[in-house]
Amino acid sequence: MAETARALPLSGSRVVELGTDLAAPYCARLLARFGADVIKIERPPLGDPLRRAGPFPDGRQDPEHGALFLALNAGKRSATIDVTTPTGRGLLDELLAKADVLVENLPAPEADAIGLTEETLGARHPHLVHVPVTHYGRTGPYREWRGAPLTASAMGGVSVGIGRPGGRPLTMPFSLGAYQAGLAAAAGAVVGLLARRRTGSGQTVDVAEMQVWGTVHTGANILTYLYLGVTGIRQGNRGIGLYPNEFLPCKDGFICLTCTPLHHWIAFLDCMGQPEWAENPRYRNRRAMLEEYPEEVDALLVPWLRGHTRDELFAMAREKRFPLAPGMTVADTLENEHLHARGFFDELAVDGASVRVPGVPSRFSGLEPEAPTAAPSLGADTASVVCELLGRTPETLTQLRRAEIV
Amino acid sequence: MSRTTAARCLQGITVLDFTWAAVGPYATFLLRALGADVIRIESPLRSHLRRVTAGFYADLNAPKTSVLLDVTTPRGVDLALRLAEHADVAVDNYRAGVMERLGLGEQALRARNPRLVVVSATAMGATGPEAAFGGYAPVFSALGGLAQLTGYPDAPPTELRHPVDFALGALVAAVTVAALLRRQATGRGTYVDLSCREGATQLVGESLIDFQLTGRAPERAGNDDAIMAPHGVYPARGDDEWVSVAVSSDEEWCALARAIGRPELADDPSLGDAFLRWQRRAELDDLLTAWTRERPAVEAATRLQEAGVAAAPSLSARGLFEDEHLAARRFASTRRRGGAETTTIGVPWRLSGMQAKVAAGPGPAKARQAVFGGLLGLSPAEIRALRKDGVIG
Amino acid sequence: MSLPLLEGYRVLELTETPGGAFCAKLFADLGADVLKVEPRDGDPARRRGAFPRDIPDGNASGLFLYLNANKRSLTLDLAKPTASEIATRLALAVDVVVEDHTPGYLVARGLGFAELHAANPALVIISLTPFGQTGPRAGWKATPLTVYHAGGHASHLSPATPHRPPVTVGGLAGEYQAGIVAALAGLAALFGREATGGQHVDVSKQEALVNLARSEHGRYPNEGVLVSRTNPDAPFVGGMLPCRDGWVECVVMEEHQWDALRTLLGEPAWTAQPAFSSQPARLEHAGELHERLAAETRTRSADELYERGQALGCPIGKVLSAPEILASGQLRSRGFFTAVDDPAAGRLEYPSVPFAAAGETRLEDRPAPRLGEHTAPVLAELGYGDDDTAALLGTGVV
Repeated sequence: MAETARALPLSGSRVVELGTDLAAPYCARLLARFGADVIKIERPPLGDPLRRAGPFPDGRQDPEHGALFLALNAGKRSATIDVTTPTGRGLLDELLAKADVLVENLPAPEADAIGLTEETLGARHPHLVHVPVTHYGRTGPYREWRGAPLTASAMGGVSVGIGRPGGRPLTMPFSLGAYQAGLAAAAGAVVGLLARRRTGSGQTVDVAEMQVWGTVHTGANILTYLYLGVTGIRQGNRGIGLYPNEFLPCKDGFICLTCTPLHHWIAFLDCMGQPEWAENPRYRNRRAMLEEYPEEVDALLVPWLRGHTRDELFAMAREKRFPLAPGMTVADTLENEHLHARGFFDELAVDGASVRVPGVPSRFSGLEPEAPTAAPSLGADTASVVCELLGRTPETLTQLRRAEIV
Repeated sequence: MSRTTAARCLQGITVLDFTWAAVGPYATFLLRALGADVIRIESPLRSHLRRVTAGFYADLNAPKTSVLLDVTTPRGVDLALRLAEHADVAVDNYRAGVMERLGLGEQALRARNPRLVVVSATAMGATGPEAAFGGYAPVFSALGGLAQLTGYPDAPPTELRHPVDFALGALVAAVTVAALLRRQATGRGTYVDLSCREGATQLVGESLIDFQLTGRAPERAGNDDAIMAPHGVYPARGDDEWVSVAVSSDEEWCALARAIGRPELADDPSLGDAFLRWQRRAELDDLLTAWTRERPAVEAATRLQEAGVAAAPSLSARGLFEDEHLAARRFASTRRRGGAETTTIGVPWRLSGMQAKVAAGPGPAKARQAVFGGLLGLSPAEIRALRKDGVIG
Repeated sequence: MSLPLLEGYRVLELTETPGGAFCAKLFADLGADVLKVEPRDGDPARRRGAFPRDIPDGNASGLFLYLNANKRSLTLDLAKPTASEIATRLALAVDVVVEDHTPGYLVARGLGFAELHAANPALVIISLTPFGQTGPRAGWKATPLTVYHAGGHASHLSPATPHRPPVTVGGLAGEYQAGIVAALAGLAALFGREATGGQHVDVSKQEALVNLARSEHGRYPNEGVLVSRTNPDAPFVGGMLPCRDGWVECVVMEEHQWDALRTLLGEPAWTAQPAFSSQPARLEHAGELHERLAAETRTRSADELYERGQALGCPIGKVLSAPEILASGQLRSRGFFTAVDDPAAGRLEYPSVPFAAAGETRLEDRPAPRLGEHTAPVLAELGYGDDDTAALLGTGVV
């Protein structure tokens, strides 16, 4: 492993993660996959609550086999340290002295209490890139507010744009905000490391999930509002602009059809065997079709679509050269030849079986990183961290364990 | 629920008590205290021990119906076997083989009465290569692992005496009642072979598991705890007066610091968790000692309890009899007869409404009549003849 | 490890101290079905250790394993009203409740004796608490250390260190001794319940310990003798003696035992002195005798003194440590150890019940339960459906 590890982009960097749930662990998961030595600090006795969140094999709760935890924590080491105790705080402090990056998502008062602030860390560990990734950030009036992906999505102004016209706003599915924030945090960490090479000192890169959502309001949304006074309008699963730009049912699922340029629309109608519709003004004015009577047009398309499978439609679209994408299920994604060809998936060895989890979003030329080790069991690396890294004796380790500090 | 019904959990149960020394007599004392009729068979065997332990002997046996029966004679054995027909339980704690040699082994007894529960408590158990070995509480506490773990690490292992005998006596009584419950279900008695040495090991059983898990044999630790500090026994004002204190959380530590007038320690981060306090336990012991030795043990314990810290005086016998809590619970009672006062410690439980003292048993003549006349149906002439021949007393 | 003497009886265990758990362990080891209720973060013993390779694991704590093998575990957050309701339904389905909470704790949760007894008149509730249900100190906090010292044994336990603080008994033996007393009283109440009805058995650990030293303590008011570390007042000579490879404990009360000891030591000339010629003389010179005996035993091995001494009829025992106990041929030949495959801790040999019962076959031993291992099956036995159970799990009640 050593040879390959040295070749990885972040090889030689050490990241301390005080992360729970999704965003911070996802950030550190990416950094680990890029070669950093990530030490995940968990609070004894139970560790990251995500361990108990499942889903679990056969539905039996088992903190070492929660699927989401495995996926977000592969390739890390785990040490249990109760950083709320003075002794635990001391151990963390020593660890930070030997680390390059700290990724954490503690509630602001807890972070303040144990000195994980810009001022304190800047003074004690000036080399450290500190990446708090929280719902509302570490500054501003909301810094102590509690949050969840649902509230961050709402407060970030994204939810108002999701949902059927006239219906209730919806949240981003799959806790997407947490992953967006994790990505932003990973980017921030790396930018911080790059800046350190120039300036010689670390800094705090304060990521707020709400702010991450705010960045989605680029261009159209904010400008539409400023220019036209129009706020985010829920459009169901239709895009904006011209018809068709939406999901439609087919024989075995859904396809996404986005034939907005006229020649694509004509190609689709040819394929459907109705080229003459393109001559009818009612079905040629695709802005009116989208804005005034989309259901009427849908009703004309759906019977034909339902007669064909996703794969058949996808093949026809490629042949006739119009944009159509099959709606992938999770199972489809896992077997997707394209993603496999790009080496996207990480195969983790869990109890002798191989578990396939998503890898990183990008592919690095010239290196084929080995599959990461599986997620660590709780405290699996406490001994190596406390004894080897921090130089405590095995007797001291035992006493620290008795005192429930590690 | 009336006092009498509550007092008689084992009402109707007759126990034949062949015991001596401490384990057995305390077991049958407890069965008596729970309402059983206990017929104590005094025999010439080891009778001299009664003299060296007179107060002890009277305390445990006064509530029983005691009769003298020479079980070293064939007629005595026959009477004992006849009594077994009328009994529910027979308890002995001779060395393995002694009852068999007398003709009163479990098989002989159970042949007379298949519903009989026979409980034999021996030092080593009735089987195995060391079955014939004997011993008292100090011996089986040593073999059982209790002595090795009791005392200061830099001092010899500690000898344990009567309290371990009595704990095993309580275990003998408990198993006896469990066997009686089993008899309710099956209709059959049983023979329980109890090893005191194994019983002593049961009292430190986790040390065997701990050794297997860590490869380290647990050692004596005095009053220290593996985790807590302060945790110990501290001198109080007076001669040989002590108070025990155990701090089991950060909150209790802060409470203790304030209670002993050192509030600054509560805010001292270098004492802010269990690990730091444990590392500096000797220093903390000195701090606490400076405070405890200025006041009586009960006062020190009370002040700490008011602050929310576990503390209790380490009581001597005198302390127990001066203790207001035990007095409020009437743990002992004093009886005046003539000019003399006798104080008796009661029973270690309260059953809804039951008194904590045990009534005295009948005198020798009444006991003799109840057992040999009442239970066995012997005529006065037969009883006289047996007494004349020295078979019964 | 367990015998079926209490087969068919069910026990609900609501404990958090080693004494309470040991009391319920006796029921489990006698074949009763013991349902142990744990808070959602588990019994404190799960955090006590020792742990395999010293790595904390709530399912592999030595103390927890020892106290809870053969029991079943369900988690209930008794702070939640729904949990109290479940506990009440459990109490109606069992014969005995063993609890060790501060007096008033269960009453505040609707689980006091009055309520439960009204619903289940045959129920026996064993309350094993530091200072009992009544009296001015009923609410005092305690730990195994403070309870043991309140019980008075320490005042005369350690004559070898008369000027150091009184010392506590090894391990948690004080807790367990109180647990035995509580189990006895509870079993008796169970036996008598047809005549007496269910009962509340109030056992104070302090009083249980006091009772176990009643012979020593009773001498103070009746004879004016204060048995203490400086006045141990043992009716025997010998005691704790050093030997070449450890310690032996020797108890000489009778003449023939003295003769056996003399033979064991090769009849040293000093044993013939008048100061040692009779038991009263020996008791009078016990200190000097102890020193002379120690000088003799120091050169001999513990095995030699034990094996030969016992063969000669001298009550003598070796001081054994945990590994030596595990290796004992006597214990092995009696089947005292039972091996249990524990899913978290591996194969372990447990000390069994210290007795055998004729005609009763030992039950197959079950490893200590994982936290909440039996929550779902027990709820199903109580008549909760799968959906109810899922909701109770989801809301953190169980």
